[in-house]
Amino acid sequence: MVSRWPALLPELLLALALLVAYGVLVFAGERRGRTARRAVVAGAVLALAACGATLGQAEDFLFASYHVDAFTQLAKGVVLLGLLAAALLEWHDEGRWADQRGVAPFFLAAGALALLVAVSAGDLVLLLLALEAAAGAFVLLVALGGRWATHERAVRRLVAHGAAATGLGALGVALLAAFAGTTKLAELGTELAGAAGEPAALAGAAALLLAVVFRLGVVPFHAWAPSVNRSVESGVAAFAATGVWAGAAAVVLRIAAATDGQLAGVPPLLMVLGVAAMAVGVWTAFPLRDLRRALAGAAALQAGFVLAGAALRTQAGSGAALAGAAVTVLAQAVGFVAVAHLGTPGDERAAFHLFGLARRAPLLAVAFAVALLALAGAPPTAGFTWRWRILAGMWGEGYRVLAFLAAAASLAAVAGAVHAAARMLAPATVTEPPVALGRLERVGLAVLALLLVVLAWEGAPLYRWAALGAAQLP
Amino acid sequence: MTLTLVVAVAAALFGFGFGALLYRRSLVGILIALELMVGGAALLASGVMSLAGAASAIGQVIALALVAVGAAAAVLLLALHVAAARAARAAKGLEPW
Repeated sequence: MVSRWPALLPELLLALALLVAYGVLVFAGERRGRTARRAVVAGAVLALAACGATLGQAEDFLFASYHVDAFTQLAKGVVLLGLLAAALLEWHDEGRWADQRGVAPFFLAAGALALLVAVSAGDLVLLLLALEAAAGAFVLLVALGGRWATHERAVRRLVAHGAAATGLGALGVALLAAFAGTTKLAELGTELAGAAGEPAALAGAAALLLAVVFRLGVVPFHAWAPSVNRSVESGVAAFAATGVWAGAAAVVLRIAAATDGQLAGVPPLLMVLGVAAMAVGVWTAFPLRDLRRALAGAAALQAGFVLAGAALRTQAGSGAALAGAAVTVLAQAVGFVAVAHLGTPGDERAAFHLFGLARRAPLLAVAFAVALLALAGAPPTAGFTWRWRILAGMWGEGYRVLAFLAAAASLAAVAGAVHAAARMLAPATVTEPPVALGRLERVGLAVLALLLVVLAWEGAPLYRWAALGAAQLP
Repeated sequence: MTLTLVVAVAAALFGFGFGALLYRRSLVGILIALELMVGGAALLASGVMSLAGAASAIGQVIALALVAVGAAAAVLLLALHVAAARAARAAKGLEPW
């Protein structure tokens, strides 16, 4: 009986770190911000290790309201990687951020903990509450992560989109529960059998999915991501593009797997949303004037492929999407390290600082170029491997026109990434300030860039773990 | 008849809320729109599940959870509204509503 509980170690360790961070904020003196950050980083590292140690466990808690299996543990690991990247980047922002008291690490950890619960939620009510808790922490982070006068518009936009997503999520849960007579995710597949032809049941699933894809910055809730990326500090923006993004991607995969068996309209809806997200992502990223905006576009592009993977209704599709979420988090982490060094939020000239980067900071330039190519899906990077599997699945399942559009979006993104890399190689037009990388940043960038190349190999353990996780989906 | 009425009222509440969200841009306007939407969803869950005779307790649990979501959203948005009002006053601009 006792052996079940280690499955909850990632959540418990992060919750402990959260408590320590809170205690530090309340009781510690001037160095409380730095101490809270250390507590959160330590908690994230330990929780990440716990995810790896409990990857093989499959347990239900609280009458199947909370479920742990290989899929949830892998997804939690990806969310924690995002938290780690955001917390370390937030460290980099120290001194520039208006919030000097260090409440940011606390809300970063709180948002990540809520996302861990959402990923494992086996009940729609718990899922909705966890998603709202994560959204609340994120809205506060964004509101705190810049000067109100300059990023008020981004906050308002995020709040308006978030409110629409909350309303749709509530409607979705109400409709699905009304038709299925249950709120358990594992039972939805069978209980919705009697409502297979009901448009309102499909509307419920669609509303719930739309509420979740808001966190992915996907159509119709795509407008907040570029605004937020442009106006808040790198740590918070990185959390949106990594931790929040990965958690939402995992939740979409779970909801899609639970509902698409009976509701035939769910896969086409996801596929259309996915291709629309790809188009909007490429549109947002180009022209390459603003790097932060480009990274928001890249996140939408990846989200489009994840939605397409979820729509395939195959283990290969879901596995590729889960592996893609991990690759995306690694690439976005590198992207935000580069962006943090190439300009402050709102710097309209940040993209022009790319010129001559290969001479000023070769390691940063190489890592950023690899990350951009991975986000675009260019071979031989990890971004190509998972995307190719999804494209092949789309073609095989008969979504040939959409597969063609997805490939075209990827090609356009590759052209943009190559263009950015060419800028790094070109000489600077004006004298640019030197880029000073810390030791941790140098090691981190080298490891992440190497991973983004090595993970292109199809035999990498990540794909085995993702396949194992996808096999656990309903 | 009663079930139809409940669904119609819930749909109207949600529709008005969604419409208000599209129309209003102030934080208080967004908050009112959100409360209308969440209220409509809560009415739908509790009303339909009670009147249809299937697992009425689940409907009530969903409604309670939605009340909690609405309350949390109200706290968050009002805090942001106060921050916006302070910032606007400091900049000698108009109040944000």
